[in-house]
Amino acid sequence: MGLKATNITKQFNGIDVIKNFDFTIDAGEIVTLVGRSGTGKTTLMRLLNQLEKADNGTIVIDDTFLCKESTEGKADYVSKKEQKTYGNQIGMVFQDYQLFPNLTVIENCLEAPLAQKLMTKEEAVQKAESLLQQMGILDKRDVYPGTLSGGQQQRAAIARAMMLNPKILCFDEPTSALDRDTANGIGKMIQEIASDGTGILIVTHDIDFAEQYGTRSVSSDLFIA
Amino acid sequence: MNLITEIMPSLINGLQTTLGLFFIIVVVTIPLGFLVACVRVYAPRWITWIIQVYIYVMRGTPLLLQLMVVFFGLPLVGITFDRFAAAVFTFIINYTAYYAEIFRGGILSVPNGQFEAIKVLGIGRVRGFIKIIIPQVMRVVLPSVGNEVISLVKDTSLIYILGLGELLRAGQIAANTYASLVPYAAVGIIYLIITGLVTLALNAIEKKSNY
Repeated sequence: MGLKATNITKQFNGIDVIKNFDFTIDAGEIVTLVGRSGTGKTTLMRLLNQLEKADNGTIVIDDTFLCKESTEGKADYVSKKEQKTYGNQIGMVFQDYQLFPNLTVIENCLEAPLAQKLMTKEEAVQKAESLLQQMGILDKRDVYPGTLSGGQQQRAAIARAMMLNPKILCFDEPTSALDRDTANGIGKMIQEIASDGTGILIVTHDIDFAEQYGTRSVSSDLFIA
Repeated sequence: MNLITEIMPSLINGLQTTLGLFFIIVVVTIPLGFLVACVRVYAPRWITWIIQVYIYVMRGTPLLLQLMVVFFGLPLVGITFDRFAAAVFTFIINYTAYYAEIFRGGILSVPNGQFEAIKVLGIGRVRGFIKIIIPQVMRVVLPSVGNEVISLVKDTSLIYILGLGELLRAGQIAANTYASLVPYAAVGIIYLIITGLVTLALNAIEKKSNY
């Protein structure tokens, strides 16, 4: 169980960035995606998170499809409603966190479940508080993100992504703006999340971090076989 | 002092026209400008071209000329306004153009990642725009919007060209009648009081929109 992407192809301006690439993330594993800049690592993560569309291939988490390879060799995307269902199975922590600066930390966490009417306000607050507690930033619940350090923002962004109970959680360059100690803190946090059965994908340049915390590493050199 | 009490009623009369125009224009053009900015940013190319031409014409010609075209020129093609309506219409199309550009800058200043985060979290475009994007836009544009609002206070004096008795015109008539500069000084002080109040209001709004 987990995420399965098969025969993924993505072109930009007629040039293949990813071609016929197969890829999985199992429940509880930490897959690190390493490789040189410009080789499509972030593109793959964006495809999985619906920020780009695949030209071809199948993407599915458990039984929830995002797109299916058609007989003409194109990616057929499921309906908007089903895409939304898929979207809630996968979460993403952006490289620069992209917390909403005009909302407090807890409001950042509450926004998605309340907008999607997935929980009552009380349930959402309770869940947010327990996640912030787990991340060690419960004391920051009512401050605006602008006043947080990089590591704290990262934790707030993780809590926000975890609110929807994703089966897969993606991190784009999680350590690029952090010192080594803070990065290790985030690494341990990621291991803790994975130990509860969440599949993790980490795009990174940081080989040390990948070796220390990843359970499996995939090189972007394989994107174009 | 006597002179002041004597000219006050006519100045207050002019002030009413000035403030009436001011409030109508502020209330109408700020939301309208925001709407035009959204269209300019999100609509198909051909619509944005039309808006660009509109903004170019509005910003590229004097407001005084626009007032004259609307009031004296449009009747030639069968569109007739009364004086105040002509003033309101012209100020609306002129100020909307400026606000549209200010708001466009504000919308473009929000990082693309914010829109992506809204999408990834399934928040929905409309809700995300209202709850997350607009507050960020407001914070960026407030100083420029404030500039325009203060300009507007003073620009209202241009409607004298349509024969409307606004504040400055009332002062001018009084100055001619009494052969004195005191009415001009009084008018200047009244403008300063209005812009002072507007500045205080803007500061309060800016403080409130801070996060």
